[in-house]
Amino acid sequence: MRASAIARAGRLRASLVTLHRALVPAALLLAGCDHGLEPPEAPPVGAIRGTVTYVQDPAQWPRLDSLRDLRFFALPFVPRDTLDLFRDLNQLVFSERLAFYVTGDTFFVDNVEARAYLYSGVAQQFSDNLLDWRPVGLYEGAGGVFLVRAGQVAELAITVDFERPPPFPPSRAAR
Amino acid sequence: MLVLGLCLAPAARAQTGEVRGAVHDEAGAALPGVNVVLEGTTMGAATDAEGRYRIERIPPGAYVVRASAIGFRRERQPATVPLGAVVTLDFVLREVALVEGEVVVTASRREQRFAEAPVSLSVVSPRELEERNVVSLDEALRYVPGVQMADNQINIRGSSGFSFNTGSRVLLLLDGMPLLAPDREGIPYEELPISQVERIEVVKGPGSALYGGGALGGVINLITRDFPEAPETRLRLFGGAYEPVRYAVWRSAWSEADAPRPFGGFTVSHARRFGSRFGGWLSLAYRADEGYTNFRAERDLDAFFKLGWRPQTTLRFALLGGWTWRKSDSFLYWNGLRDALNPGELNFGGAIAKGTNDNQVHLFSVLPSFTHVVSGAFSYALKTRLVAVVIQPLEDDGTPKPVSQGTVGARYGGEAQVNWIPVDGTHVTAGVAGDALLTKSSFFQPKDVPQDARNQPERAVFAQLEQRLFDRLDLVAGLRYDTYEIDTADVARKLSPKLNAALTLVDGLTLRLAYGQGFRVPSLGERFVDNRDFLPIIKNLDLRPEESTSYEVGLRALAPVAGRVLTQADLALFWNGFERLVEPKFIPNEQAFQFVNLTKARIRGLEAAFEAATDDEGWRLGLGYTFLDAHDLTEDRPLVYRSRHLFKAALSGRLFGPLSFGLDFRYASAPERLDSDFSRFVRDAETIGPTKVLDARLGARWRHLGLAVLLKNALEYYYVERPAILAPPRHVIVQLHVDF
Repeated sequence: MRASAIARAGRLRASLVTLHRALVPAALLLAGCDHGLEPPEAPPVGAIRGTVTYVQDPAQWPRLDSLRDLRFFALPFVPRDTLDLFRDLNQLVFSERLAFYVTGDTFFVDNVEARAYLYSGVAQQFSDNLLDWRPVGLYEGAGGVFLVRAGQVAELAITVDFERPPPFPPSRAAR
Repeated sequence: MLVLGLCLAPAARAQTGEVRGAVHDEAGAALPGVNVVLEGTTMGAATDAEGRYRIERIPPGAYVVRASAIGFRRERQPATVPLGAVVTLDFVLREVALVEGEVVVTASRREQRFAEAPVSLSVVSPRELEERNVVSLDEALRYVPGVQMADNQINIRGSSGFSFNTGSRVLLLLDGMPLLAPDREGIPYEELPISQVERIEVVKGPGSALYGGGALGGVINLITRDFPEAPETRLRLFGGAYEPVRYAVWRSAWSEADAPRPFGGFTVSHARRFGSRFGGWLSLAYRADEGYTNFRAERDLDAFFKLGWRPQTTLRFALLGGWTWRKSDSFLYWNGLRDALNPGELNFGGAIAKGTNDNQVHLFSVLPSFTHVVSGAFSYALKTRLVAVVIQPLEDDGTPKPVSQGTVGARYGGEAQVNWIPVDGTHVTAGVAGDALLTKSSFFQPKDVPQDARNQPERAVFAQLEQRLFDRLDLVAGLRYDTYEIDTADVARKLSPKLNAALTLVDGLTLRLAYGQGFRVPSLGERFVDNRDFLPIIKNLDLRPEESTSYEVGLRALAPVAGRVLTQADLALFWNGFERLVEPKFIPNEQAFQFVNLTKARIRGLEAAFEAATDDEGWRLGLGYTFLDAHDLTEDRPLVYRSRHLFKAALSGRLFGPLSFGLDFRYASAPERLDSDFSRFVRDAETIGPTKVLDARLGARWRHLGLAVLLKNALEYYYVERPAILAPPRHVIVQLHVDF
């Protein structure tokens, strides 16, 4: 009785060793097939250069308490509503801050993903809230659509009228 | 309450007898620290350095005396105790490798055998903690079947998922007392005395019927060490480095990524008894980590102590306390998968919210307790707790900013519990508990509004009846009533029942049925945070408690084979329902995130676990598989951030001489669905794949000295445990232990 029990234990011990021998290659196989996440290929990029013309004289610009920031922006889609604007916010392209109280300005945005941009213009941040932005002038050439090609610079011209900002969300007819 | 306990103590006198004896192992060596108890009573004693024990003031009668110790098969002997007589009873315990004879305390708020616990329960032993160089709780839990870590959230059988800094859906206890951080009800992973942990018990499934809020998906109880018979000093040194990442694209974006990133630390502890009545241990640990990503450096220093005083064999005072200091950078989200080692920025133009913050944290805890065994059938325990946290953001030069710009919080409270055995086979546990959270934070309202302290008092009463029938069926019924004062005008009330049954089919084979409910009251952070520094978040005072209901059928088998190899298998089928799960949601009108009660969900599945070990602990194998079918009933689609398959395997063994090795492998399938709101803001946040991680170790032990080399993530697998943060890459650790 005791001998057979010891024999069974011996067989189990041998099984454990066998399992070990099987488990290590299995784990290597499972984990070693790939290295998991890896950086994606860099998308081809181009650049955007633009000029901004302001309808108002500097004296007629909004006061500083409602002019916290002013930037060129471009989106690869036309937002249908506010929620849509945040659908893929990290695809937003922004310029550096534009100068305040001037009659015109220029901007240049480098390393912009090469693709079509369907909705772009100049946006004003009107309070300290990070998300309190409104468009004050849109790029309207070629139906508002422009292409950034790899290694090339897209040229834009935008007119800003603080008193008559384009509607947001943009109406289908307007676009 | 403590004074009351002292006053009552001397009343426990009776006409009695005594049982005494000695406990040895098979080789004849004395075994200190063995628990010797009279079954069906709360009377017992622990053996001293010479293996001797003495149980006094035993009412005359017939008893079964049980001796048990971790790592040994428990033994039972009948004894009849006449009035005024001394009965001598010696035991010889056989060493075992598995946890059959282990005593666990979390399942029923009292000591019981692991094999008889009527719930799914896993135990992490100190040996496992030491071998794997575990320095924080999250590292320990990664190896437990059915448990998945999602950065700062413990996910037991899919209960938590990942919810961006909601409070923990798993309750953390330290020696049975709640220890969730008072500010966000999260788990303070690094601020725990891991080096002094005797074992970690993980209860899978809701535990609110015994423990109240927070135990939505499970309970984790860290049981700290008691005091050794002989003075004991331990020193552990460890150091290592994260290997430079494989991909040049990642390295090129951060200048320091080309060199190994070091980390290291030490733990020193001393434990001893002072005579037969006093004991204590003191532990000091330091850890420095340069981090494997930019803005992830961390320094931790913690000191913990535990003091025990036993003025009589039936009285025990214990005081557990600690202080932790941590200065760290927190990496919140990456700058896309092409730049995974740098924190990102939220691209709103103008003011930029950054994917990192840094702060200094002080955490204090004082946990006194008192236990009085009034008679063989009645005992009570009084416990109080104070956990306080001070968080200060750091200036660019690392200087802490004033506390007024950070967070100050405290959780304080206490509980009283009685354990009563009215007749043999019946066990009643009942008690009351009261806690309060008081937190003041600059994140709780816009900066221009004066800060108010936020309070959330909690009160509870609970009771549990355990009945043993036919010597093989254990029935448990429990009920707890909690009230939470959400604000001065609103009180949340919750009745949490539980029903369990454990039927011993044959020796070593137990069938269990479990039903239980859980709930979690949203943390002060979820309700009151109103801040736009990192992500725009607005408060929600209308948040309601989350609730869960669980049903489980389980089968546990323990099968020793000729005393040489022990096997243990556990199979569980479970169905968990969740109501009003809190998740952050982007609110367009507010242009900000808000924590809202969003989801009704169902998680059903099965879990299978198997362990085998030789009696000399020379070889040990552990396998665990969990299948989860997690469904969002509100949206009728898979629940976010839940893996469908979890698999864990562990193998360790002795090679030759003092050399040993260990391998741990864990796999989690990619979640079926991810949160889309977060992905709107953070580049590539929707990138989350499977987890396949192998850890390997090689160690040698010679007398009081141990040396180990650990290679974590040995196969250099890159993965994320939560969105937009890369998990640690391959890293090597060298560890030296010295025990005096």
